[in-house]
Amino acid sequence: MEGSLTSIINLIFGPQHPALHEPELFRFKVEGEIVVKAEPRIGYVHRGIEKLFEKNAYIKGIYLSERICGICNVAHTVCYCQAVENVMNIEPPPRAKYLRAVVHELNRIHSHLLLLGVAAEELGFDTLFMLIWRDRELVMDLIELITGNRVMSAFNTIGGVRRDVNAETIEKVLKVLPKLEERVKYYRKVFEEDPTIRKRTVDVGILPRRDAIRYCVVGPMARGSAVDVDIRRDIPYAAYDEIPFNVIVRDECDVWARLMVRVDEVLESINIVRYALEHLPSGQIRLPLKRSAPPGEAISRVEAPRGELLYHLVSKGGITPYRLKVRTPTLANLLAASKLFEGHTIADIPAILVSIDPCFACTDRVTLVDVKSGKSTKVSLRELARRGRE
Amino acid sequence: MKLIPRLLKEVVRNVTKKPATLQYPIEKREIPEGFRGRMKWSAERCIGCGLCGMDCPTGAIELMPLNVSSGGRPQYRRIPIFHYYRCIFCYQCVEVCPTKAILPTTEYDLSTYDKSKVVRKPSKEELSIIANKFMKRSGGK
Amino acid sequence: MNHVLLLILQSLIFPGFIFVFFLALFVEWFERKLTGRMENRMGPTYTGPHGILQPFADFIKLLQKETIDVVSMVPQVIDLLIVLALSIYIFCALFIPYTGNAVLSFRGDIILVPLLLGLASSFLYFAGLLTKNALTVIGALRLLLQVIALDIPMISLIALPAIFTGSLTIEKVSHIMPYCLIKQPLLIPVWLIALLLLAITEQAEIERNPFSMPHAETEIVAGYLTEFSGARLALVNLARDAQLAVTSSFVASIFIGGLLTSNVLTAKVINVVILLLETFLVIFVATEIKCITARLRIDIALDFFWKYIIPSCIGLLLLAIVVKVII
Repeated sequence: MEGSLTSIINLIFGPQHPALHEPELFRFKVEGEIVVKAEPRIGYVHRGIEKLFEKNAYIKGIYLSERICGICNVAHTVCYCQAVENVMNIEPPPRAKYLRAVVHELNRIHSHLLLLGVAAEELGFDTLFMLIWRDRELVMDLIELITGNRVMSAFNTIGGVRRDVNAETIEKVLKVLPKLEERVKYYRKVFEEDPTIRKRTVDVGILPRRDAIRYCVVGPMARGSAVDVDIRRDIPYAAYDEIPFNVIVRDECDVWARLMVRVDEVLESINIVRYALEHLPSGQIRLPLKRSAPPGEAISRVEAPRGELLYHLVSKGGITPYRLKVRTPTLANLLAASKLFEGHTIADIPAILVSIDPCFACTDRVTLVDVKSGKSTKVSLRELARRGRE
Repeated sequence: MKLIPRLLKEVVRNVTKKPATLQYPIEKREIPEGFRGRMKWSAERCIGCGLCGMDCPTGAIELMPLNVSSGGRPQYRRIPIFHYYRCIFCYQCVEVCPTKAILPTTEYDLSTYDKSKVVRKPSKEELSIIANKFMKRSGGK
Repeated sequence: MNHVLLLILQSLIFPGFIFVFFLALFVEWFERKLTGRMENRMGPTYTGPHGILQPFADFIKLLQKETIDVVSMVPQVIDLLIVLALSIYIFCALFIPYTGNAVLSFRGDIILVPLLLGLASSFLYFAGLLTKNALTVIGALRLLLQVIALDIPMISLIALPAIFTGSLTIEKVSHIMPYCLIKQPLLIPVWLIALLLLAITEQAEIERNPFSMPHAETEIVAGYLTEFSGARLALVNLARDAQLAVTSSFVASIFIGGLLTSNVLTAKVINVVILLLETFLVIFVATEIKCITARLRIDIALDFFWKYIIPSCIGLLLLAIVVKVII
C-alpha cells in the first residue's frame, strides 16, 4: 500500500496464491478495485527440460516430454513422437494413429473438465467445481483403463502406441461415454444459464478478433474470439483426417465464450472417441523400435487442449536429438492475456486468468520467455514512469 | 438466463445422497487390470543384460555388476536394483526386457516411512541363481 | 443482589459466553458438513462422531499456534477490536429469547440487535484495515461497502415483524409471530416476499456466497482476515461463527418465532429446541444459497443491492403498513 487509499496499490498475485495453481507471479497495479496495469513475471518453474532432451536418448525423451505438462501429457508425447518419426522417416500403422486420437481426445476431455472445474472455483462456485471434478473421474477411469494410469498415460511411443485395446475395453469405454456426455450436457446448461456465472463472465476480458490475430493466440482462446483455427483440421495428424468433427468457434470474445468453447469441445471430443473406437482399423499397433535417427530436422504441430503445441527437432545423427525446441500454447496466450486485465476489477483477475487455461509448467522452459518478459517489464516501467509524471 | 440456478435440484438431492468420496486407506477402489503399478523382478528369468537400466528415463534402475565367471578372467553381467522412489512407472523396462523378467503388477500403495522398503535389491540367492545360469553354460562348453 | 448474580451467571453461561461458544462451533460444524454433503463430499469426518469436534479441534490448534505480529501502528487496537466484536455477538445473544424469555429485553431491542451486529462487523473491518497489507485493505473496503449497502434493507426487513405484531421487543415478537399471520392472512404474501428478500440480505450479512467478496479466496487470499494468525485468527473465526449463529437465531426468532409463553421448565426446554431447530433451518437455507451460486463482483453486488433489494425492501415496508392499516 502506498500513500492514501485512492492511490495505486501494488497487488501481487503469486508466486503463491489461491488463484494460481502453479508458482507464477503477476504484479497488478490497482486503483481501488480497477486494475490499471498487469505484469506477468514468468520463470518460476524453469526446469531446463530442453537441455535435458539433448542429453537423453530418443526413447527416454518420450517420458520427458510427458512431464513438460502433466495435464496435456498425451499432446506432448504425440507431438514429440511425430517429430521423431518424421526425422526417422517412419510412419506409424493406422491402428496406432486411431488409438493416438482416442487417447488424445480423452486427455482433452479430462483437461477441459479440469479447467471448467477450476474456472468454477475461481469464480467462487465451489459446488460446481466439486461436481465437475467428481464427474471428471469418469474420464480419468477410462484413461486408466486404456493406458494404465490416470494421468501420465505413457501411451505413445516412437512408431506407434504401446498398448492395444481389445473388444472388451472398447465396450467398456463406449458404455461410459453416454454417461459422461449426459453430465457434460448438464454442465453446459449450467454454464449457459446460471445467473451468477453469467454475471461474472459475460463481457469480461474481451479479446476482439483483430487483437486475437495480432497477438497470435491459439487454441480455445482464439476460437472464443472467432478465429477459426484448429490444427486437427488445418494440418491433420494422427487419424484426424479420417474422423469427422466440428471446430467450435464462438464470436462473443469474452471469458464466457472461452469457457463455452471448451464445454462444446468436450462434447465434440466424446464424439471423436466414439467414432474412432467404432471405426478402429485392425492391424499392428507399432513398428519395431528404432533407436537412432539420421541427420535431419522436423517440425511437429499438435492441437493440445490449450492450443497449438509445436516441437522443432534437429538431429545430427545418433541416438540423442541435437536440439529440441518446444513452444507451448500458454506462452502464446499469456502475452495477450496480460493485456486483458487492464480496466477490469480485481474480482475479474481470476476469471480472466482461468479463461486462458494457464499452464506455467509448460511455459517456463525456454530462455526466449525470459527475454520477452524482461522486455515487457522494461516497457511497463517506462510506461509507469510516464504515468507517474502525468 | 434463468433466475433460479439449475444446480438447486442437484444440490438438494446431494444432501441425502452418499458422498462420492472414497475414504482411501479404509476403502480402496478397484484397479483395472492393466494398471501400471510396482513391477516385479524375477531372478529366474533375468539374464543380466542391463537393457532395463539403460532405458530407464529416471535412473530408477541401478545396474549392479555381477561376476558370473567360475574362475579365470572375470565376466560381468548387470543386475538391476529397483529404486521405486525414483520410478515414474512408465514401464519402459517391462517393455524392453528381452526375457520378460520384469513383470507388471497393479500394486500402487507404495508410500512408506522406510526408504529401504521401496528399494528392491536382489538377494544373495537370487544373485547365485543368475550366476549359476552362466556358470552352467560355460561349464557345459 | 440475587438478580445481579443471576445476570452474571446468565451472561457467562446460558445464553451468554459458554452457550454462544459451543453453539458457534456446532454451527460451524453444521455448515461445513452440510456444504460437504451438498457438494457430494464427506465434510469433517475424523474428529469425534461425524467430525463434530473438528471446529473445536481447529480452535484449540489455532490457539497453540504462533501469532505472527501484524505490521501495524496499533497492534493492541486490533486485538481489542476482535475481542470487542466477539463480545458484541455474545451480548446480542442475551437479547435472543432462547428459553422464551430473553435475559435483556426492552422496547426497541429489535432495532438495537441488527445495529450491534453491524457494529461488530465494522469492528472486524477496522481490525482488517489496521493491518498494513494490500489484500486486507481491499477486503476491508469491500466489507465496508457491503455493510453500508446492507443496513437499509436489513432494518426495513426487520421492521416487518415489528409491524405485523405491533411490538418492538424481540421476546414479544417471537411469541406472537406465526399466530398473528394466521389471524391476518392478508399479511402472509408480504411475509413470504420478506422471507425471500431476507434470504438474500442475510447472505450478505454473514458474508457467504454470492456475497463473499470481503474474503474472496481466489481474488484477495482471505481479504481482511489475511494477516491474522494463531490465537488472533482463532478468535476471529470464533467471532465469525458466533456472527452466523447469532444472526441466524435472531432472524429465526423474529421471522418464524412461535415460542411458548409459559414459564414452566418443560416449556422453556421446548422453546430452546424450537429456536435452535429454526436457527438450523435458517442456516440450511443460507448454505443452500451459498452452494448454488458463484461469487459476485462487488460492483455487481452493490448495483443489485441499491437498484433492486433496497427499493423492494422499502416498498415492502410501505405495503406492510398499508395492509396493516386496512386490517
